[in-house]
This record gives sequence, C-alpha cells and structure tokens, in this order.
Amino acid sequence: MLVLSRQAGESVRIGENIEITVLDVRAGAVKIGIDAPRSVLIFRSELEQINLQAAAGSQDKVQLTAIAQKLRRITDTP
Amino acid sequence: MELKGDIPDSAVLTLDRGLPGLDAHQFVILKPDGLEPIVMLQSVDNPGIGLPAIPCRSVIAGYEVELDEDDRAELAITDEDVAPSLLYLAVLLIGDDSGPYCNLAAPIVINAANNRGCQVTGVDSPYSTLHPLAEG
Repeated sequence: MLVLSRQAGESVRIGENIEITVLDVRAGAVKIGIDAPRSVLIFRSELEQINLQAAAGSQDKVQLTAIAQKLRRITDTP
Repeated sequence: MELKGDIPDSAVLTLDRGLPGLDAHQFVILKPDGLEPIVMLQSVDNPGIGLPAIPCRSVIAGYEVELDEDDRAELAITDEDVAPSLLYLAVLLIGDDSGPYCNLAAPIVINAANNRGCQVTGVDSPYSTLHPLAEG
C-alpha cells in the first residue's frame, strides 16, 4: 500500500481524472472530497461487505420468514 | 430464489452503476409468499444473486434520502415532480446472534417512472448502515 502524508487542503491525484482532497481532520475523523468521473462508483468500503452478507442471506427462507412475521407483528400492534 | 417463467421487459429494473460487491445490473422485485414486507431484489443478468430488502418507509415513516447529481443522473430525474414515483429499499441483513438489520444509509432507489435504479452511496446519511430491525 502506498502511504502519503497530506494536510487539510492538500490532495492526491490518481491517474488522469481522479483527485482526492483532504478537507478536514478533526476528532479522529478525516473528511475527504473526491473528484472522479461519474462512471467511477465511489462508496464506503464496508458497503461491499454489507451487500455480500445480505445476498448470502437471500437463500435463508426460514430466517427471512421469521423476520417478516416479526415485522408484521410490530406493524399490526397499535 | 429462482425465477419462474418469462419476465416481461416492463418489470426489469436497470441499475447501470451496479451494487458494490455484486456483479449484477438488472433486477426484478419479487414478493415471495409469506415474506411481506420483505421483498427480493432478484438479479436477472446474474441469477445467483438475490438481495432481501425492505421499503425504508416501512421502517421509518417519512424516510427521505438526499440524492446527489450523479444519483439523479442514474435515475434520469429531471425535476422534483418525480419524487412520488421513487421507491426506497433498504438492503436487509439477517445478522448472526444480533440482528436483523437494514441499511438505511445507502438505500437502493428505484424510479418507477422509468425502472432505473441506483444504490445511493455518496452522501453522508443521518441513518445507519446497520439499522436494527424487529427489536423486542
């Protein structure tokens, strides 16, 4: 992994048309801005895992049926 | 979930940008018996992929999501008038010992007016990616 130190306001360019700018650093969180072509899908990395986990659960009809029953009970309760 | 019979073109949703982690771009919404309010986003271009999901507004009444310029382009939204035709779906995770959860932070938005869709990934959402469901 390439490691670069950057301060707020500084940026990194990846290839021809992607630029990542550090906007703010505070309280253990970094706010970044990303300029990229629309064809490049940008997402928080954990989203990939969440989608994969959800897809894995699609086969579990027993669990899904139980969850659905529970959800309907909650909705039906006045 | 298996697809049975022919799928009319009018039922196929196109998610050009795709979904992170999943190699599929065309889906139909199935409503399997006994699973209401859960629906199944079933891929038609990669039949091994299905995603359980739940309408965001069945979890949080009045749920809204901020769409950025790219999302609006994906959904081919030209003005605010199409808002009533937008369907918000939260991907549902069964979870292990804890759970189930749904992802309200990055919903899949479907524009029913043109069957285009996208997963909203680029905004800072006030909601959680792992919103607990069916507690208690």
